[in-house]
Amino acid sequence: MQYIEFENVCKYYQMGEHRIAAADNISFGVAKGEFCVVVGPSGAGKTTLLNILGGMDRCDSGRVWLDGSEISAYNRRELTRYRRYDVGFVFQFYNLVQNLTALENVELASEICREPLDAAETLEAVGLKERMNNFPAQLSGGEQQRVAIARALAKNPKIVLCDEPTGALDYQTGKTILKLLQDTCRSTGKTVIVITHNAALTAMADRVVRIKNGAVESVETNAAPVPVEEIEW
Amino acid sequence: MKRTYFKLTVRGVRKTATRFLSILAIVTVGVGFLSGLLATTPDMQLTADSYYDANSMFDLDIQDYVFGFGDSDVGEIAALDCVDKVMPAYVKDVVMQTGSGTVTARVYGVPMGRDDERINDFVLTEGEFPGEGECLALCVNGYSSKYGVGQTVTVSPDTSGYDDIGDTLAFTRLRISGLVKAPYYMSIESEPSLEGTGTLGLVLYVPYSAFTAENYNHIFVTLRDAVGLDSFSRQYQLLTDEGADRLKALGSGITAQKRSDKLEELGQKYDGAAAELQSQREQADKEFAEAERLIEEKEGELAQARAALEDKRAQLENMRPLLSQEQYAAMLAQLAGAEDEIAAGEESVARARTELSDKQRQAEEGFARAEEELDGLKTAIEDFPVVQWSITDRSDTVSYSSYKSNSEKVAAIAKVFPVFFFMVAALVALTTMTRMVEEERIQIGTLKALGYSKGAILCYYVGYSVAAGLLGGITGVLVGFYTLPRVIAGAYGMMYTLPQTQCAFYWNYALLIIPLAVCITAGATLCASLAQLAERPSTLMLPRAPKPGKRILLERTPLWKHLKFSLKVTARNIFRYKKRLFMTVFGIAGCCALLLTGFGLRDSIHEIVDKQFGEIYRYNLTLALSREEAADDDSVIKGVLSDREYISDYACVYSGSGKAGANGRQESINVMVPRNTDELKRMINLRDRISGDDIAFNADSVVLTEKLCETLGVREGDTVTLTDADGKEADFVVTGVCENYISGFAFVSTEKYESSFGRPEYRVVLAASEEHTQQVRDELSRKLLESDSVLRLSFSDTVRESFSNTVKSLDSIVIVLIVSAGLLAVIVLYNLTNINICERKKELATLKVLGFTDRETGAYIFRETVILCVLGILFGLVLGIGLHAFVVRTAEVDSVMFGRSISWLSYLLSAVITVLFTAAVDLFMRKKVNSVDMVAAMKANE
Repeated sequence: MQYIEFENVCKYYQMGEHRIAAADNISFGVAKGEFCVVVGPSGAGKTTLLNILGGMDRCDSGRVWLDGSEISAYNRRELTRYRRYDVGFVFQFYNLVQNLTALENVELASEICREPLDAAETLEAVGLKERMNNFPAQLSGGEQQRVAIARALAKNPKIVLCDEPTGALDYQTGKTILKLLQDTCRSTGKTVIVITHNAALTAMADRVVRIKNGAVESVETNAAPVPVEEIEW
Repeated sequence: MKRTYFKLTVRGVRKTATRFLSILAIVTVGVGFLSGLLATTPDMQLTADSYYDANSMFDLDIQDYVFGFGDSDVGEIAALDCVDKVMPAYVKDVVMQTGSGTVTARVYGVPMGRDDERINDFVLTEGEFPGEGECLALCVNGYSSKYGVGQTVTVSPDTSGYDDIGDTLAFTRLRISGLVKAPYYMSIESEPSLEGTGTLGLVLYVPYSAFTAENYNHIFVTLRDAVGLDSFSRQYQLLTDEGADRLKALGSGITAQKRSDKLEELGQKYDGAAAELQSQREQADKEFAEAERLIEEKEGELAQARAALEDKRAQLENMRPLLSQEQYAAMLAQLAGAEDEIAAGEESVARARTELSDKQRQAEEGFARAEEELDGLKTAIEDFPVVQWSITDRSDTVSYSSYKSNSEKVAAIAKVFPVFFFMVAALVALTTMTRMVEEERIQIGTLKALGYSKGAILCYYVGYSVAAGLLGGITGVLVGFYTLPRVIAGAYGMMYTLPQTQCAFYWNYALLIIPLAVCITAGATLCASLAQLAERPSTLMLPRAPKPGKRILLERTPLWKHLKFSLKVTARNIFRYKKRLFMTVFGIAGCCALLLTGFGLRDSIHEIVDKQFGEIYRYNLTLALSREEAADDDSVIKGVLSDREYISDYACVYSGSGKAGANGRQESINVMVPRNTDELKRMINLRDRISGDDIAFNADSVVLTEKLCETLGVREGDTVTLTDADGKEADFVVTGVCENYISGFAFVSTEKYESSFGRPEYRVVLAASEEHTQQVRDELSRKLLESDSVLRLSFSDTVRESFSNTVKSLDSIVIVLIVSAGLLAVIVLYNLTNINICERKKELATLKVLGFTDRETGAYIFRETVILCVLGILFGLVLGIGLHAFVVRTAEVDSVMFGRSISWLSYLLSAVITVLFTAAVDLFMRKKVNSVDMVAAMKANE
């Protein structure tokens, strides 16, 4: 079994008489320390996958494992703990708390973890040394996303999940963010999973999972991942 | 809680200050009203009690108008261990003449030194303590002093027993040296009197020396241990009852002794007088006998003289031939002179005789009178009553008992209204917190995603509302305890001259109310947030999907085609947000219901007076006579009753207290029996309240008043047990239930009553007089009080006026409630409209982008509000009728029935005022609608 394992995972949404399969018998695995990219067109079901893996949603059938533990069997309380200690999540629209400064946003997450990283250091590491005491409203999109990443990293989780992290950012900023993620993956050895609809990014990944219409189209491993600064799109 | 999380919560509170404050405000209002109303009765009683204590108000008043009290009696009373202080006094009611007419005054002879200790003390408000020939005055029964310092009052000849007034009073005229007020007379309601107009208007205080009477006729007593008690409490009443019993026991011994002493004295007097009479008679007889003898002697002499004269005449005649003419004439003349003498003598004897018989006759008359007097004395001795001390306490004074019942009325209302406020407070808290949780969806989702537990997140929201609830509760309690009692007591201020209301902090209420408020807000929050928090983080972070549009029922009706587009949209919108619809309608209905209850309560109370005195009582004068026959044979009374200018109709009845029992319950009631069955309905209008039909009153009739029947649980046809004043019981079948508002009555026909209880004394006269002016009332009283047989007279008009005063003061309470209903309506409406607008910001922004004008955009929202408002008012009026009925039944004081109907004006006012409030909120919120930023709202978190 791989570090992360999906086995016949299905998730349905009932809309009146129609049943829509957001995830239709998804099975794949990710090894520890890999940088994994999940690609597919909009509405393919990528976010659903990530939500299930991140413990924010449940699948209707099938099983999911992380590091040997069956996540899909967790009850609510266990899921909360799972999210707390094992997962770091980065959202497309940052979801920072508006009432807290950048530093505080990170501290918010680190204070409830078992072995967190130092919040200020993490922020420095993402290049926001000067902006630690600004509120999200005073930060640009890229800066906000970096805070979000710092928040995820400071938790010292087992896996870092990113849902279209560059979706709201421009080309250059997006690249910077992705580089940050890639470097973190390499240096800390954490498993990073990034969702995107940009097929060009598959070059930087160790593993590529293609999703279409809620089903896995293909799973490939990249023997030689390219540093993201060399990728043009 | 983690440090940063704590920072988050604190900042959250600051950012949403208005929201926090709105919850705080509603809790403050609800709690404030509840605590204020609950504190009013104890505060009012506390104030009065302190006033009483500060002025040594009496606990017991002992009266003896037969023997009076001497210093030894005072000593014996003071020696009782339950007695604290004793003050003997002279009390006399007189009619005083002042510059502006006459007034009935009560004169108190009490220690008048500035530093003397007095019971029933007074407070000097103007002028100074009296000197020789002066007095202190207290104006009763009026708001402004009609009597001023420096005025002189004179005892008017109208006072009964004016000729002997010198035996009691040492003065005929007094100068008012100062004005006072006293707790004994703190009410503007009138105390009855037997002098003048029958209503006390002035109270005068003079020193003991102003009274010439030998014995005091009142002794005022304060009891040990009484000061510490609350005068309105049951313990106080028990203490005074105990004290009264002790004093009564002491008194019966003393009066028995005095009585036997008096009887002895009278007996001696009688014996003396009888003996005197006897000796006088004997003396007279002797003298008359002597006189008679003298007269007879004289008569004898005269007879002899006449006989001698006749002899001499005869002799002369015989000797005539022997005598010369001159000699004859001379002798004849001599004889004639002797004749004259005799004649004169006979005349004087005759006169003497007449004199003697005159004297005898006079003497007889004199003796007869003396005999009568003796007989009178004898009857007095035989009929000398057994005298008991009459002991009264504070509850027998008008001011105390009216204050007690008025202060307790507030407590009754206090129990009902605030429940409603609390319900609304819960509603507002619920909607506000729902809104808050809704707005912070994404934050909640994020926190959950970070791994914060449901409990930790819940802590924030519950903590938020608990903080608001706690602060609101504390503020409310402080505001309520210290302002509302003053306001309400101030309403009564017109009727009582009391010092400023004392406001106390009632820990027992505070510790009950504040946790209640906190629980309500916390509970509301839990309701609002638990549903949200149960959702998964992923769903939370997605903005809530807008509710899908659905076809509404109205669309299927043919009506749909004819509606304008805007109305169609409004209709769909109303049904789309069902929860909000319900809450808005409920909020408006609540406000309207409260208003209607407030107005309705006012109507009910006014009705008591109008209906009872205007329609049910056909009489307005009540006379209590000492004997039943007086109505027919007392010239004064008969004269007034038959004078059509004053009295249009009257009837003699028996009116006494008794009890009525049924179904295991018993109530104290008044029993009224007419001397002739047919006469009752001339004086009392017996009718059914709901139908208005007349109730028959004939030989079998036993009619009970409505409230009484309710309390006993009886209806027409049921049996009740009536107990008369002596304790005799008898069963009667109820033949009718009549409309009545004040006191419980049982009207029993003459035949029915007499057959069960025997013939009672029909000593009460109910009379209907046409004129209702004060002048006529005074005239009537003056006339009637001239008779000795009148024990008491009272005019219904006076009672009616005093009731009206009570009603007026209740008005202000009702106004307070109405204002608060308005406050609530505004807060609820503001909240809901706010939420409405916030939730539909995108909708409104889209409209604006499409080109709707400000007015049209506003109308979009407010059309709904208008329709909901109308619905709310209709529902609220119905709810209000129910609430009003509930409040009336709960707040009713025992012996009084509140009117049950609400005037149409109240309905109108309630509706109109609710509309006004809604409109005010609407206008205010329009500004908010107009300021919706199109651009910002459209920037979606999609």
